[in-house]
Amino acid sequence: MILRIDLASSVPAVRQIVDGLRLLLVNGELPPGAQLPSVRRLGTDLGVHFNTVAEAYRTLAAEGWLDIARRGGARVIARKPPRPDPESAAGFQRRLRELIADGQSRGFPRGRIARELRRLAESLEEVRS
Amino acid sequence: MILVAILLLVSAFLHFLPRLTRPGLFFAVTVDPAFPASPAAARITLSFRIILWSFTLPSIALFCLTQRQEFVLLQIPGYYCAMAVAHRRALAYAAPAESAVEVSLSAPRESFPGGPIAMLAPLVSLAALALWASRNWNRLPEHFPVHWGMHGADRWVWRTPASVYGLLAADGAMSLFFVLIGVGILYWSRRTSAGGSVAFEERRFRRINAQVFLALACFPAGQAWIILLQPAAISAWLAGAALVIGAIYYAALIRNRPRLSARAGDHTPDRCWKLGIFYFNPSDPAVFVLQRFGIGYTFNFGNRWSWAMLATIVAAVSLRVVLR
Repeated sequence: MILRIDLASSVPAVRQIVDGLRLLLVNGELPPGAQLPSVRRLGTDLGVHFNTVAEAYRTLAAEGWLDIARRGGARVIARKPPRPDPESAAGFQRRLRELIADGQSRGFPRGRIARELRRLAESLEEVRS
Repeated sequence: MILVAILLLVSAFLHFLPRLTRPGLFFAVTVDPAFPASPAAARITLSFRIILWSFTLPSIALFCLTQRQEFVLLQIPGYYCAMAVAHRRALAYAAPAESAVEVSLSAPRESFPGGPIAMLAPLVSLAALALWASRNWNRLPEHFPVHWGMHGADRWVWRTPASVYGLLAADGAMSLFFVLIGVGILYWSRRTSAGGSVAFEERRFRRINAQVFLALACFPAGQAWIILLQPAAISAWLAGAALVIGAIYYAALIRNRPRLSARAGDHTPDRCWKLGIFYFNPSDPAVFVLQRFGIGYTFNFGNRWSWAMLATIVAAVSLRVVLR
């Protein structure tokens, strides 16, 4: 169960931590009950300020993924996924298009992007079944 | 002659230290893994060794001529000078370090060897000794040694509350310093490997380091007990025994040093290594980081908790000076 961030990336570290943890949470690699490292431990290992990790934990707690009220770190809790509203769905589609455009601007051919999207869609279908 | 032998031994160790550096590092600079085998690297290593021995040999000669132990200290600026020059020259061949960091979220919990009892044992024993001394004042020796040279005890003090409790406080501060370092290496340093055998090696290396400092923490406490209960037992062989134990532990550290990948590195920026020896990075939350030149860990001097820990050794040394 690995969390990976790029300290030289233009994406803020807090966003990378949130996105990385959310990926693990959504994929079930961090099941309910799992204990995350303390803010100090994760901050030291990643080389970022403790407040950055704390903010990431607070973001995920606000989304309903974590319980951070206890001392000694954050714990994953069972989460009922919310129903997507039209605004979130539009926002998701927009971010997806922006990501695809970013890939194309970096030189990835359309065919390859399409194959990656199909592969992801197939893996999502497998998880659902 | 013992001092000359020690000086030669230390210099020989520093002479060969570049060979013990982790892959991907050269005099504390991130380089291409193939660079240390290049002719340019060989020239830099040669200049390091020349500067090192240029200070060591005259210091030995001056000590032999004058018998003044102060000349032995010339080796220290010699090492720093050699290191500074080599580090500066190596910077010209610096390679970009990996900026991606991977962390395992399921790493096993690490515990201090012996737990809280081992952490507190040296300090509790000194507290117990202080209590015993207060109740058995007349059983303490009338005067006792507080400093040892190459020929045994060379400074003695009389039995007074200041000298007795000052000695205990100084030894307590020193023990506390070593315990804090052991704890800090285990809990306040960065785990640079996310998984696999290298992560296991890192954990083992941290544990050995913690054990070394726990042993060091017991030394001042044990010394205080011997001084106040049986000062005649102190002799040069005790220092020799400590050196032998220290050498064995250091060999264990060298043998068990983790083989970090040249690519992943230790996630410390080159620019934060001053003279290639001192790590100063206020943005890094780690209190301890792996040394880039040598074996073991070093302080992050940009972290305020490092200075808080160093204050304990300053207190210990100050108390010792007052006791003279």
